Amino acid sequence: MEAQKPPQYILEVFADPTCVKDIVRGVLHTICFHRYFSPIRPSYLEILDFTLPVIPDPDVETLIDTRVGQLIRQLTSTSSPKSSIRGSLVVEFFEKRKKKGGGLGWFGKGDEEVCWESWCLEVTLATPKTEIERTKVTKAIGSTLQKTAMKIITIVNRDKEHIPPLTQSETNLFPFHIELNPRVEGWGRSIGIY
Amino acid sequence: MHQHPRPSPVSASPANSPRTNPTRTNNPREGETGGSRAGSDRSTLSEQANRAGEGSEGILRGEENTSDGKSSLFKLNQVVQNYFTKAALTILHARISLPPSYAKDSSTKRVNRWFNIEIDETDITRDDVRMWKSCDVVDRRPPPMIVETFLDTQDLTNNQSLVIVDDLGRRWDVEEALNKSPTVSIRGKCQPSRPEVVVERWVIQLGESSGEIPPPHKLRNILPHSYKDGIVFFRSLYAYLRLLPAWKFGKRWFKERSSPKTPKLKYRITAASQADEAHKRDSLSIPLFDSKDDVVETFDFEAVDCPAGPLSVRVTYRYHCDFRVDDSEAFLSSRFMGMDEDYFQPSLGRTQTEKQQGRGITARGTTEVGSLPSSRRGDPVPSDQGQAYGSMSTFHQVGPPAGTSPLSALRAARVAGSESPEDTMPKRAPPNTRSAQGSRSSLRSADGASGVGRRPSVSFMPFKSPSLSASPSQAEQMMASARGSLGKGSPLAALNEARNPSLSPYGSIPSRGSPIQGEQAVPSSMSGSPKPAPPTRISSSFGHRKSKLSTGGSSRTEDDTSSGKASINSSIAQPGSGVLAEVGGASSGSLQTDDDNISDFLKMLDQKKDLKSFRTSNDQAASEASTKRTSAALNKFQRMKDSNDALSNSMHSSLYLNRSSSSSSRQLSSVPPMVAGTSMSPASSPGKPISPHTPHTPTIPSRLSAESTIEYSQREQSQGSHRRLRPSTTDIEPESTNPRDPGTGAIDIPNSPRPFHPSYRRSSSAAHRPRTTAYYDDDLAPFSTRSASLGVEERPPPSLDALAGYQEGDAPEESAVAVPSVDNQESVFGPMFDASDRSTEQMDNENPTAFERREDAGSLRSRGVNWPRIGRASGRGPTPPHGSSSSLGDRGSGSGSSDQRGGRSSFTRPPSNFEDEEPLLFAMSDVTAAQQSRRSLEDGRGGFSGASHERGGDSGSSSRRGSRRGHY
Repeated sequence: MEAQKPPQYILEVFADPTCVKDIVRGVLHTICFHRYFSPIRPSYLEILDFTLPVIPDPDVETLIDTRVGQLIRQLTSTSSPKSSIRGSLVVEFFEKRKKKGGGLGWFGKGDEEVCWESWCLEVTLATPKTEIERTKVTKAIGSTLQKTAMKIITIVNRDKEHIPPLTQSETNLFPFHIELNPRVEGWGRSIGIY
Repeated sequence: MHQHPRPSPVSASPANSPRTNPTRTNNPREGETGGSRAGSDRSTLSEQANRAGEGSEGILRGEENTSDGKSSLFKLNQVVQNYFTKAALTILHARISLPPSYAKDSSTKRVNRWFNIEIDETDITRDDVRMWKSCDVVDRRPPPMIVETFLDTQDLTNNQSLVIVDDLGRRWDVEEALNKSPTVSIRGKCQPSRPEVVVERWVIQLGESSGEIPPPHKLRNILPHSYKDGIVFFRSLYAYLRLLPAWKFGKRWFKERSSPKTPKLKYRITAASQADEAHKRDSLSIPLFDSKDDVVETFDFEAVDCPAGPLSVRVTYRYHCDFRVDDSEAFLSSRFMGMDEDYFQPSLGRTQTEKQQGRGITARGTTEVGSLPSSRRGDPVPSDQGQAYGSMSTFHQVGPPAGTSPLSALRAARVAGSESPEDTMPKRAPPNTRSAQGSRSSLRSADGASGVGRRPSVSFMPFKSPSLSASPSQAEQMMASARGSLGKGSPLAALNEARNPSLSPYGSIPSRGSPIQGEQAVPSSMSGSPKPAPPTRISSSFGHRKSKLSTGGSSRTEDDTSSGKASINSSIAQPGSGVLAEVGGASSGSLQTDDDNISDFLKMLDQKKDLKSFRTSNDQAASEASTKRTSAALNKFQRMKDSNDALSNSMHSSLYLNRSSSSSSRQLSSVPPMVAGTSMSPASSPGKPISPHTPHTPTIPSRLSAESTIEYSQREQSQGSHRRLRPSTTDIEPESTNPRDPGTGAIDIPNSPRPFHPSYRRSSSAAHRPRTTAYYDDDLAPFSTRSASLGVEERPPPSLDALAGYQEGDAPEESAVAVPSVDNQESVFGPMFDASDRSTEQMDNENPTAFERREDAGSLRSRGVNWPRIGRASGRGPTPPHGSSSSLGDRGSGSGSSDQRGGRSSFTRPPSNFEDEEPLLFAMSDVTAAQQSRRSLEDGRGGFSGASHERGGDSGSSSRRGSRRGHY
């Protein structure tokens, strides 16, 4: 577990400027919903006639909204002549492990966070210019969102073995981070212990 | 592992409650009352609260109790038990509004916290899940739990239908689909009078374990893992539940609980054997409508490994879940229409066309379509619809044949009698149409078949003018129906047109009445032709009606007079009918084509609704009566014959007039070009065919004949044929018309012809058959002497005043005559007459002859009165008929029913004359209108009548406009 490279799932997200925020939020919430194992009273979002689960946790919502806002800003600031713009978000889930007493731990006996799963959202922003395009795009957005949600559910259901054991259910065992364009920013994490 | 050790202390806080767990553990021990436990547990708030947390907590930690082998096993049982119950709860929670259960003596909701997802607990399912709550993985392994969500039609009233809307917005009757399927019966236990529709089936089961249940100490380590998987599973279950089609359905229900439109989902939890499962699956997978998509889809959740065996969940669900509750009647109509919102005829028409074509429901659809607009709008009467449909289809199909046979003709007469074309419409839209038609129908009926019933309607004298308008209205209805269906489904129109050829059969029918029917026939033929096309689609109703009508009127008359004649007429008419049909189709097409037109039609319809209602009432009554009346109709016909004789006389005169009208018709033909633009072309096309026909009988007769067709036909048949021929031959002689005036609506027609010529032409070939005939004739005119003669004569009509006088004098006779024969004719002619009346009134004398006659008849006048209302509406409907009638008339004339022709011609003529005058106006107005559809139809029908009439009158103007538009 420890040494293995955590699985990364790639999700394609397709949206237009009018709904990109909701779409990305919905996908992020859906991912987190399946990885937030402490007891929750689930809620859900209505996005484009789709209902996506949400964890009514202020911290989670804040983090997601913040990252989505950053992504939107990046996408909209791009003066790309292309009809579509791309951006990406990576969601990583960590488990806290007691630093195994190996020799020189910088953090001494502190805990370390080990990523055990990551999700990469490849966001494609389409800017339809004609009614026909708009119709097509709207249709594509809906179907893409549906597929994405189903993909998440399928993956979550299928791959359970890599999920770290749950030692308790009172608090969220697995902190997560959302990175914007990780390659650009590098591997650093906002909170990561690194 | 990592899990238990450390956390336990942490969890301590929650654990506190959990520690009560021990008690629970005890419970298990106490008995495998697991089930009871669940229930009992829940009973206690504290317990429950604890439970959720406890169970999970304990399991995750491995709990201290784990040391106890029993406790481990107990926990395993708990996990399994709760897996079932929680799954059921989660599923139902996402589908149905579950009443929350409250903790004892408190207002605190009990919450199920198992698997770290909190969902309000409910007691409603307690009994259902008891079996699984008390299960034991060793001694009493739980059977698969089947949770089904379904729609029960038991709750629906008899007036409601459960329908499903497919991707194209088409509605399908669910019960019908289910009852068709043999598997339904399998459902067995509930084989209620009304079936249920399983929307989803969830199968939760504990698979066979791979071996012995591991010993406690191992179990202790495995359970947390299973529980964790359970958490993941329930999260995904929660999310997945909200992505399924049924969620949206349920969501809609939550939003629209008060709405009776949304059926309520029900559920049932059962333990099923494999066999049962198979059966149920069958029922679940019954296709409710034709679709390329799979009826159901299946999703398997990854099994949760559990020491007792894999816990798996599979869902099979219907992909299409857009269920609704519709008013049965509305649905019937809509279903044909294709759209529930059929109200929008345009869309409906299209949809219907599609559906019909695609499905072969066409007949119904067509009928419905036609009727639908009005009926749907108004109040679709199931029975009526059904009748209409059935009758319609049969009639339509039968119609032609019927037309062929006297009986059929009679039938047609019966049905059509009053309003065959419209009747169908009315039937469908019974109330409205009927009422409207009623007047018309009454008029028509009276005129046409059994004058009695109709005549009574005629009694609507007040309406008479209305009735007149009504007749137009009928025509309008016809138009509307035909147009609606056709127009909306321009494709339909095309189909109709295409069908028209096929219509020829119908055409024959029309032809029957063609001479007389001219107008009526026209409508009928028009309707028929268009209808024929519809028949496939929708028109069938019309076709029936039309055919019936035409047949009824003409056929009867003809029959009465002589089947041979009828046959002749029919033969002649057929070509004409074909033309007419084409015209109608064209008109309809044009109408259909133009949304504006449609909208106009709709408006017209709306306006006309009243009329329709009248018609419908009348029509219905008429139709019913007609059926019953066939015999009566015969009697009526006999009566009619009398009237017909009078009519024939008038017809003869009219014929003469017609001849003159023929000239006018020529003029008209020239006019048609106007129409040609939209409806004109159709008209013209018909005209062409007609032309051949026209030669025979002045198209004019058709109108007259149409209105008075029966009468004339009868008379004509007896006498009429000769007379007709004479008139036709003598058409040139206006004078003859005068004498004939009595009968003559035809004569009147002549008057009208003059005015009509222009109007007809302008109004649109379609407008009135007579007109069309005239036009056609005109078109043909070149071909046929008639047109020439007619044109000339008609124009002469300026003497119309005189003619009017004649007509007036004749009017009584004519009315009588016309009335009998006319119901159908009237309907067709009605507009004509109305228009003529109006025009006459307005015009003063131009159409007088016809009008006067009509007026004299009273029915005519009433018709005229109605006109204003109907005029427009009728104009729509009528026009096509007219066009057809005209063609028919031509045909008729051709066939030799000179009388009919004469009558029609006369009618047509008046319109033409008026039209001529009016046309300009119309032209102006017409251009603007979106009435294109109307144009074609109206033009044909209303246009002619209206135009001619209207120069002076509103209705006329409307019709005129339509015609003008058409022309333009």
